[in-house]
Parts: sequence; structure tokens; C-alpha cells
Amino acid sequence: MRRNIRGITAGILAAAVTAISLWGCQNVENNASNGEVSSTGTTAMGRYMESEVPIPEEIEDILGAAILEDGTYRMAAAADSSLSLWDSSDNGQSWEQVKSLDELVTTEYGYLQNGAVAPDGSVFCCVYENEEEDFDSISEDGQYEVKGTYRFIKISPEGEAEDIALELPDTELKGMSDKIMYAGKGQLLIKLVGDNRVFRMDDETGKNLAVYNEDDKYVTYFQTAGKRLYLYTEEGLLIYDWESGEKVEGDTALQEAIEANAENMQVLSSAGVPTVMCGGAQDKEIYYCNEEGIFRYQDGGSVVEQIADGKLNSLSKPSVELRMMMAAADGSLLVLVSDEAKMKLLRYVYEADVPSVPDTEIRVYSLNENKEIQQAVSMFQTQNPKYYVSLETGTKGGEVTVSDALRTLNTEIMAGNGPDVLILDGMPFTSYAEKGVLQDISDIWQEITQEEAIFENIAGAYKEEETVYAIPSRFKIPVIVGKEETLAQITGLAELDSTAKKLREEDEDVESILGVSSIYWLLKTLYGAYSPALLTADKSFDENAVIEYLTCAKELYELNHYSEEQLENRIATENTDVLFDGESYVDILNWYRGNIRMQALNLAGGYEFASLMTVCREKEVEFAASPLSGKNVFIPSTVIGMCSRSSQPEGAKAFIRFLFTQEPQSSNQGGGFPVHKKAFDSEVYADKELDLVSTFGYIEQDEDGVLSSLDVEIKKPDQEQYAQLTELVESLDTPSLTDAVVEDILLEQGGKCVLGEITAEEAAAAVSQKVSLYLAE
Amino acid sequence: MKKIFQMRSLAMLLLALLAAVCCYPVLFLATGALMDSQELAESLGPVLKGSDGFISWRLIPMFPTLQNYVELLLDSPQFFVMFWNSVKLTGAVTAGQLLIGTPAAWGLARFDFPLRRILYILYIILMMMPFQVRMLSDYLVLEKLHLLDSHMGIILPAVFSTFPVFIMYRFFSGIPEAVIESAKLDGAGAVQIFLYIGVPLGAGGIVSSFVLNFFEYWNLIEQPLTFLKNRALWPLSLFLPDIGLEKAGIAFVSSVVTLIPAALIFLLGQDYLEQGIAAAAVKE
Amino acid sequence: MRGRKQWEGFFFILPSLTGVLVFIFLPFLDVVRRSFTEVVSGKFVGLKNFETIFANSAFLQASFNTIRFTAVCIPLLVFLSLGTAVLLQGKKRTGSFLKSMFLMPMAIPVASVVLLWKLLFHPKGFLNGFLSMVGLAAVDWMNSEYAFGVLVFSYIWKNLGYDIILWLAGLAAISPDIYEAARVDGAGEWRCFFSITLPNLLPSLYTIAVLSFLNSFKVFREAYLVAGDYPHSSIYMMQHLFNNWFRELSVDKMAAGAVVNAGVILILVLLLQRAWEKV
Repeated sequence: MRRNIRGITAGILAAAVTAISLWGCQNVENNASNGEVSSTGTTAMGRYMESEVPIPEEIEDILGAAILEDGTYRMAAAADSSLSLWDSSDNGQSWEQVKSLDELVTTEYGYLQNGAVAPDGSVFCCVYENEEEDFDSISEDGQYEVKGTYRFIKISPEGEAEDIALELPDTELKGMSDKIMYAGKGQLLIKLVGDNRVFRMDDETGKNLAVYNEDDKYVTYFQTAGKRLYLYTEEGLLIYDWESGEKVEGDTALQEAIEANAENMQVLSSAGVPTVMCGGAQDKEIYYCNEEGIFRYQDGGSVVEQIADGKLNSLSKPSVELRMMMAAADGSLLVLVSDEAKMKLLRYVYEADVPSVPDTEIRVYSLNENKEIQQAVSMFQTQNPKYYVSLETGTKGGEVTVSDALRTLNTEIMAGNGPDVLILDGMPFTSYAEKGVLQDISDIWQEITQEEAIFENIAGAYKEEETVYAIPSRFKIPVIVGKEETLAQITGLAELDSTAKKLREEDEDVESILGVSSIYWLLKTLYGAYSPALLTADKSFDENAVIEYLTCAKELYELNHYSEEQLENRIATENTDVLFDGESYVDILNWYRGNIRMQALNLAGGYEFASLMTVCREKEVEFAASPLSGKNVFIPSTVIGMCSRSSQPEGAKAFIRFLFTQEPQSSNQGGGFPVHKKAFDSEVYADKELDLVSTFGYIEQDEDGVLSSLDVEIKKPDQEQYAQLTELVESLDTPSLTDAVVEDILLEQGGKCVLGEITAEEAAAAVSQKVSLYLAE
Repeated sequence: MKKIFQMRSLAMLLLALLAAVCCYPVLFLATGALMDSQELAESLGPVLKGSDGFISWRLIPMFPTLQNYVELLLDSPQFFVMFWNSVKLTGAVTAGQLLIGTPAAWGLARFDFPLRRILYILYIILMMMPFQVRMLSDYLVLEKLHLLDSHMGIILPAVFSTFPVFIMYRFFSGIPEAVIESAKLDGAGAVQIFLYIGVPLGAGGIVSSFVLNFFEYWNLIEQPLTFLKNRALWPLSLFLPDIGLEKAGIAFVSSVVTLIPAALIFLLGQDYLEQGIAAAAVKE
Repeated sequence: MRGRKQWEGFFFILPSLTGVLVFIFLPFLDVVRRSFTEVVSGKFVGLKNFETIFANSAFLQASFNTIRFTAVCIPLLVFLSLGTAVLLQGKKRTGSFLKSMFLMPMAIPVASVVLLWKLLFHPKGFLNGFLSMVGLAAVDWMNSEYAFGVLVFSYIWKNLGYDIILWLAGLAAISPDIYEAARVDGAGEWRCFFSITLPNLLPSLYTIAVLSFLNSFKVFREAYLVAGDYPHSSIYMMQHLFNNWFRELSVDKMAAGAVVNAGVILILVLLLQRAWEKV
């Protein structure tokens, strides 16, 4: 009996394992063979080299482009607030305006919504017309309505404009088109905002020829290449043959390759899409391009070929957003991109005598993903094609703990296999320096300080008498914001706490006193500003300071009113929302609504600064350097170091030197202000001739379902504010503690304390115990 | 008599309780795997999310769902890759250990040659070294041999582990001399004695070693983490990162799925184990 | 048995030996070398590293904890498993069923065990929930002296099953005839146990002791995944220290610690050998 039960159980389990294995077998094989991407880069020579097609300086935005049948490049672009058609008959070397499109828009507040250029030279546009200033309105009873109308206009190759009535369904948004593309001659593909279907229409008659995605799957964007229509949904690609209207199921290789990266299916930015595609000159040839590079596929084939590696050119730059791709008759590929608000036309041409992968590799290592470095790597490589810079992320996006990543890194360094350049954020670099792991880069320091103007008080934070092992390339600025009288009282963390409490007493109803988005961000932000106070004069840990930190954090957190839902969802550990940086977040919405009284934040960029200045102006509050620790604190970020055992010292030094030049320093993806003075000025818009940095509107619904809107205009800060900022920056002299171990311990125990799981004393004792173990080791 | 009987029953009851404690986790994982994310959020919220109150658990899920299984088995292709990697690693390692370790244990147990004593002690000491200590040195050796970032770099050192030798040694030394003698009288050579007498009689030890090492390498974490950079080579044991609420469902399911082969092995192995034990007793 | 055909045995062990020398002994020698040199430069510094670690409070704390853990766990495990084995002995059905259940914990993947411990011992976890239901105060298990108890529990929970099997194997190897003879002579249960069972179990005890000792090191994995790099001081073990030293690139201290460790184990093993021979 017992044997039987055992036998049966074993049998069932064995069956389960076999079933799982067989299933997995299939999937694995599919992944392995069908979705295989072979890289032509494995042959020794030949590479698709990138070059930039010069487009006129004044062009601000390009709505549509195409390479015409006769080889002319045509684009519909906006320059100096006026729209025109531009042509180039010499492959982009020079451009001329051939037709103005301004007359298309007949009303004062109208604009060109979308445009597409056809291979025969005709242009199709969607124009928004409105006599009144308001784009939309919310009526008394909460109804949302778009004012104005949408017109569709076709411009023939000769320049004649004609209104076309498209057979589109009625939507609340009145025909607001999301995207228009030409699939073939006279064949228009159009998708509306708020609707998931794609319509194919005749551009002369406006007749609806076909509808795709009747099932209404949620489509994020679409592309067309050759005879194919690709709809990107969150569940994968929907592929149609647009001529016949039939769904195509057989393109597994292409589908697998694109779907392999989930990011290809989502649209996270308004400036571009993750993947752009186009048909090749040959029949059935399909190209697609994303941040990984450019790929070629033969329709119906089983292999997708990578013809250009994104890591070797601008495609991997975080700031680059793809707009569209076109194939020229000579086999070169053009990709239209927007790079930090500038439009660029990148051309990729195959050059047989360039080594496909540069022979000198510089290895850069960073514990966490660092977008500024990614950007810099791409820039450096474009300018130095003989180097191949590989960027390695230790924690692999959170899959590996920091400790494990460090251990693996150390193993490699000790074995002589270490990287060449280290991004030292989160690493125990003082210890590394002592042990001789880091190279003395005072020679690079000399070069930098002589040739560039940088904030030496920041970049020189870790400089010793004769040596320098680590140079911060960015920094964040801890500030506090509030009314002048309030700020005057805040001279330290305890005072921040008591002042906040007083404010709460004065006003029982306001939603929050200190704008705080979560426990984690509160602790992290306060830590950034307060950490130097945690050390006593002889560099040991001050338990009283820890108790103060934890008690204040808890009390500050509790001063705010929270909704039920917020109370249910208090996670005290790291925020998993990668797009949100609560540390530098200027809570504009709540300031404007009057829902907060103070903020403590660590500014990380010009946009936040401009937002903050706008709030200061509108709400009559001030900002000041954060006095929480009693010292002038800044938070160093993207600290650069070089490995002493690097096998490419020349390349490593070249790269490090490059990191402190204006170009990479100017690109801020949230990592902090640059130390390069000119880049800093451009970051805070000081050298830019504009008035408005950005505008946006909030529409919100309160609990009764009533809609209201709030429009915010973020203006360029004024001279006084710039002066205040510059003075602040130059006064900063104390770097925040960068020891990741200590920070982690504090944040963990702090989280428990604020959540109420343990008292502040218990938390402080735990912190003490752990940190003393750490220091004793 | 009665007292002893009562004591015995009490003792058995305690044992049963103890066994239940040992087994409950499996039940827990299995039920958790069937819960949908809302129920998991409700039950586990206090720990994983910071909600108020204490964690709670229902033995039987209110709304059992296969959603987690679907998500894991259908939507996570890397799970299968890792599953196969685990199978490959564990299979190769245990097979190699049996091939190399069994004769070694036999040699140590039944023959007296010079250095035997020293080798035995060496083997035990080497068995005890925790990985953290050897990590760097192992890396260097593997690097010289160009075995980094490949499965062989994990399989080879594991095959030569001294742990299986130690287990099997015990069983081999328990075999009565008389049996060997009679085989020798019959004219059997050393290898024949090993294969036809040693292995069958020591089967208990061989199976024990196989089962124990299967568990060990099925759950191996440090070596793959350090020596395998290419994530396509990672085994299943590295699949579960830090468990947060969103992943709780998947965590449960992958635990269950990872458990199945291990449970399978030990169910099958147990039979052999017992046979081996019984056989050893009978041969006496 | 002794002295016969000596060199044949050597051939049996040869394949294993070659592999062991390359993959295990060589790294070990490297560790020993590093214990006498400086980290990055490789200079020979004699006994300096050893002096450093013996003066290091973290090392002393970790040593104390490791010794304490071993001294508590191993006897506890040995007795519990022996007792259970004796009780299960001879009971075919229920015995076998219970045996399977005891072996279960060993099969559960580490990550799942960690998840379980987190849910069980969290300040708002199951255990505290249960305590609050019966009116007792909640305790932060992992952050207090109780952490030690948790670790002991984890260790015993995991390893009980296998030790039981080994004991059962040992018990089964004792011929029933001896018991018969003793009973005929009028010996009672306890007498039988002490005079016959125990002495015959000594070889098994040796195996079990060594195995349990080995497994006590493995408990680090769970401790690390649940409590991180710097757990409560009561469960801060040698391996935590080695782990952290390595992270800080203090490979010299780590190597010295490892050599000391190995030395202690060597002495223990030699003592064990002696003790077993005397019996």
C-alpha cells in the first residue's frame, strides 16, 4: 500500500516534470533557432558607419519625411514657428525650402497635428483648427470636450492643397490623429488617439479601404515596412499584410527578435518610439532599428541579421529617440531621431575596410545603471571609432545584490581581469584606494582643471595633497523650500522637525506639511543632506545623531495626512518605479494647490531648478541650502575612478578625460548637475534664449467626478535666482557620505522605525551594532 | 507495560507533530502558488507592503487560480532555460561524482596503502572549506584553465568534490570482510570485486551520496553567481531575486516547480535507500 | 585486510586525486599563500595578517558565534535525530511515511526557505501574529538575541531527516541476535540500549557528527539571505566576516582567517580520529 502511494506520487511528479520539460524544450528550441540573431560583426572587416546628414540649423521639429522615387529627400518641418516643405536633391548636403505649409492652418490657434510624406512627393497632413485659445474645456457638469476641429489635407507633388474627408469613426477627440504614415502610393495608414484600430485609406478619395486590429487590442504604436504592417501591442506584435488585409502568422524570427525585449513594445516617451522599420530596396527585405542596433530580415526567412551594433554608434544613447527609418536606393539607411530636443538625420553606410569591431576595448563598470555614462560612451565611440567601450552594470538591473556584485568585481580585479574605468558610486572607494586598486589620476586632474572650467570644490572633494583617486563628475544639491520666516528657523534637522510640527499646529487641515512621497524617499533625501552629521570628529559613528535622524524622519512622516490607500501601500524599501525620482521631485501640483508648506529635496537638474524657481515666484516661497547637518553639503554622483591594473591605461585615461568635457557633461538624465561650469550654465538654461522652459496642464477628477484643470508654465529663472544658485554651489564644501553599506543599514532600520515596527531607540541600537561590526572588520 | 505504551504513543504524537512542522512549508508553497495576486496582497501585505496588522494565511485559497502557473510556465522563457541549465549541471555533477568518487571511496575504505591516512584527513579538511574563502583562488584556477563563464567551470570542480567520497567511504567500510574473502577465493580480481560486490553492497551509500548531492547542486547559488557572467547559463537557483509583492505569486510557483524534481529524486531514492539499508542488514 | 595489495587501492583513488589536487587543493594552497602576503602587492609579510585578525574584534565575535552555534547545534541535532530514529525503528508503515516527511525540508530550494523564514519571523509575520492571538507580545525575531534560536531551528529543521536515515541505517546494521541473547539474560530495555545499541552506533555517530558539522556551515546561506551582510550580533558568523572582508578586498585577512579555520578543523578531525580508534 505504502509502496503504491509512493509509486503513484512519484509517477505524477515524473509526469509533471516530463510535461514541463517537453514544453520548455519547445520554447527553448524556438528561442534558440528561430529567434536567432546572428551578428555579421563576427567577420573581421566591414561595418555600417554612422554619419550625420546636415539639416538646417533653424529646423526645430520634423513631422514627416521620405526619400522620393527620384532620390530627393523631402521633409515637412517646422522652423522658427513656421512650417514648410524642404527638399534636398544632393542626398542631404544642402536643403531648400520648396513650399510653405503655413497657409494650411487658417485659424489663430490651430496647428499642424501630423504629417506624412509619400514616395511620390505628396504630403498628407492632419490640421487642427481653433478660433479660440482653449484647446479643451470642462463644462459645468464635468463633461470633457475638445474645442476646434480636425481637417485632413493632401498636398500634391506639384504643391496643390486639397481637403480630404476621411471616412473615420466619430470619437470624443474628433479625429485627432495619433500617427499618419504612407504604406504605399496613395495608401494612407492612420491611427487615431484613443482608438486602437489602424485604418488604411485612399488619400484621394478618403475612402476607408481596410481596418486592422478589429479585436481592439491595446496598440502602443505601429510601423510599416514593405507590404507589412506591424502593430505593437503589450502582448506582442500583430503583423498584417496591408494589401490583402490578412494577418500574418509566419514571421516568427522577426517577431521573436523584437518581442524578446519588452521595452520594444511600450512607448515611454512622446518624442519617439522604441523601434522603427522600413522596407528595403529589394523585394521582401525588411529593416528595423532600435537601441540595440539595426537589423535586416528577409520576409519569410528564419534568421534576423544584425548589421549595426547600437553600442558602437548613437543608437544606444539614452537621449536618442527614434522617429522613423528610410532606406535609400544605394543601400544606405537613414534614421530620423530626436536627440535632446534637436532633430537629427543619421545615415548608416556600409564601409568594407573598417574593422567591424574596434580592436581596443575599454571596459567601464558601474554598479547600477547610469544613463549619463551610457550617453557618454556612445558619444565617445562615435568620435573615437578605434575604441570599443563596453559598459557593464554590476547589479544587472537589480537581479544581483550590491554585495554580490562587488564580490564578483573584486574577484575579477584580483585576477587581473578587472575593468579599466570604474564608476565608483556605491563602492567602498577609499578602501580601494588604500589597497592600491585605484590608479592615481592626478595627471588627468591637472589636465581637466587647466583646460576646462569646473567647480573644483565639488570635483576635488576627494583630492588629497598629492594624489587624487576619485573625481565626482556630477552632484546633487540639498535644499529646503518654504516661506522666508519658516526657513529662518530651520538651522538643523531637529529644527526642521520642530518647525514642521509648529506649522502643523497652525494648520490642522492642510494635506501635508513636508511634501513627502514615500518613506523610502523621505529617508533617502534626509540622509543625503544629513549624513555628514552622523560622524563624530574622529570619524566614528555618533549614535545620538542616528537617533535624531530616525526620530525626526518618523515624526515628519507622520505629520502628513494620508489616504486609506496610501496607508495600505507603505513600502519602506526601494522604490521600484524607475521613472520616478522622489529625491529631487518638486511637488508643483501640491504647491499650486496649496497642499504643502515645506519641502526638503536634493536638486538633480536644471528642469527641477526651473520648476522650483517658478514655484518660488508664484507661491512666494524661498529656497536655501539645506542646513540639516550644519555644513554645506552636496551629494557627489557618478564618481569616476581608474583601475590600477587596467590593461588599457591610455584608453581609460582618454575616456575619463572625455567625461569632463562639455558635451557629455551637458547631458543630464537625472544623475545630477555637471561639474563643468559651461555645461552647468546650459543645464540651468542660463545661456538659453527662452522664456518658457515648458508648460503642462493637469486635469484631475475629484471624488465627485468633477473635472478641473490646472495649467502650469515653467519659466526660465531670473538673474537673482541664478546668482543665488551659483553662490550656493560655490559655497558647498562637504560631500555627503557615499558609503553604501552605512546608507543601506540606515535606510533599512529607518524604514522599520517609520513604519512603527520598532522604536527609534531600537533602530538606532541596531544601526549602531551593525555599523560597528562593519567598522570593526 | 501500559506506561511504556502511553509514553510511546505520546512520543509518536510528538514525532508526528514534528514531521508536520517539517512538511508544512511545502503545503504553504503549494497553496500560495494557487492564490491570485489580490489574495496574496491581502494576506502577505503586512510583511511585504507595510500594511497594518499581522500577516495572515488561509489554508485553502478563496479563489484558486492557475494564473501564476501560466505566467511562469508560458510567459517566462528564461525560466525554462534556467531549468535546463539546472538539470544539466546537477545531472553532470552527480554522474561525474559517482564515476570518480565511488572508486575513490572504495580505494580508501578497503585498501591500506601508504598515505592513506593522510589522504583521508586531507579529504575531510578540503570538504570543510566554505566557498567564500576559496572563491578568489578558485576563480584564478578556472581562469588559467579557460573554464570561466562555462558550465564546465562549475561541473568539473564539483565532480571532484570530496564530500561524496566521504559518504560512500562509510558505507563501503561497513561491508564485512568475509564476503570479499570468499570472492577472492573464487578468483575474482580487484576490479571485479569492486564492481560486483562493492557497488551492490554499498548501494546505500551511493544512493545517499547521489540524493544529498542532488539537493546540494540543485540549490547551488554562489558558484554560478561568481563564475557565470552570461545569464543564459544561469541555473534555476538564481531565478528568484528579492521577493516583493508583485513577484510573490511567481516566487511561490517557481518554488513549487523547483521543488518537483528534488522531491521526485528523493521519493525514488528513498526506495533504494531502504533497499540498501535492508540489504546491508541482511548480508550480515 | 591490512597490508594486502596496497597499491591497487591507489589506482582506485587516482582519478579523484588528480582532480582534487587541481581544483580543490591548489586553490587551498593559494589561500594559504595569501595569508602570508599583502593584498595587492603580494609582498611577504610573515605572521602580520594573523596578528591583525586576532586583534580584530569582528573576528573574535564571529569566532565566538560560530563555536557557540556548533557547540549547541550538533549535540542537539544528534540527540534529536537519534531519539527519533529509535522511536521510528521497526515501525514499517508509519515509520516510512514519517521518514519521508522529515526528509522534505532538505528538498526545498533555498530561496523558498528564505521566503518562508521572512514571512514567519518578520515583526508582523506569522509567528508574531500567533503570539498576539494568544496574548503574548510580539518580538523582532531576527534582530534580537532570538535570532540565534531561529538559526538553530532552521538548521535542525533542515538536517533532521538525513541524520535520522543514517541512524536508522546504523540501527538496522545491529544484528537482532545480540538483543535476543541479552533479553534471554534478563536485560531490560534501557540496559539493552546503553550496552548494546549505543556502542554499536559509534561508527554512525562519527559520520553523523562530521556531516552535521559540515552542514552547520551551510546555514550561512539562509542567514545571509534573510538578514543580510550585517545581521544581529548573535548570528554573525565566520562566513559573514569572510564575505564582508572579501567585499572590502581584505583578502589577506580573509585568507589568514581561513587558515586559522582550517587549522581548528584539522585539530578537531584528528581528535575525532583518535577518539574513534580508542573505541
